[in-house]
Order: sequence, then structure tokens, then C-alpha cells
Amino acid sequence: MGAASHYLEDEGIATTGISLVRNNTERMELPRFLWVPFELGRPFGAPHEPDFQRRVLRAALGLLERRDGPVILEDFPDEAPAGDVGGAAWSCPVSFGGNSDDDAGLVSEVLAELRRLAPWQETYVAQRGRSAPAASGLSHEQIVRGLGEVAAGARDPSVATNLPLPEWVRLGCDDLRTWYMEAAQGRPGRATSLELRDWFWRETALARLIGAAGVRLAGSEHPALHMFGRRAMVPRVYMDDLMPGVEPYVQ
Amino acid sequence: MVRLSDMPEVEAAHLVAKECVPFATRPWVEGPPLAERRVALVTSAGLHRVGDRAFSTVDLSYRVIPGSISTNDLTMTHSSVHFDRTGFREDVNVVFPLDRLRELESEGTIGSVAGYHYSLMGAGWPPEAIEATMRELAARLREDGVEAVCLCPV
Repeated sequence: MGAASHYLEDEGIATTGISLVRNNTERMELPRFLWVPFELGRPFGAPHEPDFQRRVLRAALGLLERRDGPVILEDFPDEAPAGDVGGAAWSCPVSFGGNSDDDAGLVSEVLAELRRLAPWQETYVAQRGRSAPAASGLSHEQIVRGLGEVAAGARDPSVATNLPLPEWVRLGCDDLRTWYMEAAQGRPGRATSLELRDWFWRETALARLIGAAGVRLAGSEHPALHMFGRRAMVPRVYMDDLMPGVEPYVQ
Repeated sequence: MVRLSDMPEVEAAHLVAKECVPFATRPWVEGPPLAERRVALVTSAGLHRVGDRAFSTVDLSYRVIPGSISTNDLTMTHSSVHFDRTGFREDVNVVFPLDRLRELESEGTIGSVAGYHYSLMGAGWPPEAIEATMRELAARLREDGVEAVCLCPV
């Protein structure tokens, strides 16, 4: 967003903004930013905390009244409220226990996982009255079987889509991951975002299947697929476990 | 928690390795009091209306978000797997505070909410890569009478 602020100001439009990585914003010497000590993905603090979100937004917009530019970087003083924690302890949705080391076995494990998680995802939908829309246009089984083919080294997986391989893989993984998170949030208790993330990437067969597909893509001779496998399949912090031998992409 | 010291080493190394060189110039625009300004949000979170084109893995285009939209009609197709999305799925305003902006308009903190807001997919582009997109957005924002933009990262 730093470059966005520079070009908009250069066009005559005043900007303010949220900074999530103070070090980087400071180095760029930009017009007006409010650094917030919140998790990546939550620039306004926490969900369902309208008063707090409004405070953050008001603080960012308030920088527009300042006349001591051209470089302002303020710090927001408070941590995000932990409103999504507390009450009954959360536990992972189901006990999986599988450990297949071949691609076909892993696909079967994931399909079984989907069946076991379905009641909790349905619970989530009943509680919230909605589910995130799918983006890939593929069924869960199509995505899982397609990932299995990628993991097994298929050059042209038999997936019924017009999307190029990286796009259906990315959107398909997003669809599945979102669905899993909904299932996890359908359980009693309130999980933190870190608990949800750790559960998904450390305990599910789907994460192992995504990792296996990622290893295969990272090993591709095609530069775009190689880069996609290294940077877009598994968060860097889980790559040692799920994509052993693949160097994380660090810009 | 986004203090680099609190992050896993590999994540912090990635963030710090980004090229963050100051620009040659330091443009600075002032304006009327906030209570008189029309304000737009611009996000890099890869948001768009359900049914709009998804962002692709390498994508410098933008999507238009009408100011009148229900925030429940927004979805996210950002290519990164490195940030939390569970908060967004629970409440869009944790990423894109359009409902909060409307409340600030109602209480008189800002003049008005823009007719249109904009979404990009920030994916570690070098700064110059988004120059053309941002200059085009500036023209759209001017057409809408926008006098201030709040930039919302993810």
C-alpha cells in the first residue's frame, strides 16, 4: 500500500493508511500511515468488534488533519481485543489419525476427512446462516482428486475446468481450506486464528496432500509452476514439515 | 501481533527482505476538514463482489466495490496463504471497514462515503508495477469527487 499512497498523492488525492509492517513503512518515508500491532489479515483488529474497528479507522483518518508532512507514521497504542477467545475450550473437529505415504492413500484419507468434517461445517452454516462462496467452480472431490494427480506427477491432470493449472489449484485449495476452517469453527468453543491455522496445517490429511502437490510443482521445470509451488501452496512456516527439501520463497 | 520480533524467523525474513526504497519525490496533499471530505477505501486484500472475476495468481488489475454494497456480498481471492482469513470470513470489516466508514459519515466525522471503492491484490509487487493501475484509479476517484483515501492492507 506504500506505493499506492505515493502515486495517489502524486495525482493530487490525499491518503492515509494502515501499516502492518512498521519497518517497511518507515523505510519508504510515506505521507500518512498508522501502524497497528495486529495479525496479518486483520488490519482493523478483530471481527465483531465495531467500536474497536471504528477507533482504528478514526485514528487513521485523523492523520488527514495533520499539517506536519510529508512523512507521518504514527503507532496505534492498543492490541486487538481477544474477543474470539474464551468460554469453552476448543478442540480439533475430529480425530484423523491417518498417515498414508502414497498419493492414492492420501486422496482417500482426505475424502474420508471431508465426510467426517461435514456435520461440523453444516453446524457452522446453521449458526452463521451462510457459508463462504466457492471460487474454483469445482466440487470438493474434483479438487482433491486433481491435487492427487498433481502430487503423483501428472502433467495434465484430468480436472474439468477451463482454468490453467495454477489457478484451479490455488482457488480449489482456497475453497477446501475455507470449508475446513468453517468446520473447525462449527465446533463448541472459540479457537484463536493461530489454533485454527496450526490445526489445519499440522493435523489434516488435506494439508499433507497440498504439501505433496506443492513439492511436485516446486520441482517443475516450468519456471512459473516452480515459483507457484514454492510460494503459493503452503505457508513458509509449515514448509519444513509439509514440503521437505523445498526452499521457501523469500523475496 | 505483527511485531517482527514475535514472528517466526522465516516469515520475518520474508517481510524485511522486501524492497522499501523511498521515492525520489514526497508528494503531500492537504484538503478541507475531514468532516467535509468524501472518503474512499482502497484495499490490497483481493476482495471483490461474489460473482466478479477472481483475482489470478499474478494480477495487477482492480475490482470496483460499490459504496452501497452489503459487506456480506464480498469475497476474497487473494493468492497468498500467509495471512489469516478466518477474521474476514466472520466479519468483512476487520479487513475492509465499509460499515464503519458509513457510521463515521452518520456521526459527521467524515463528509460522505464515496460512491465506489477499489480492491487490488497486493502480492509484493515492486512499487513501479502498480503505478499505471494507481494513476487510473486516481482518475476514477476524482470523477467520484473523492478527497481522501484510506489504504487498507491485509
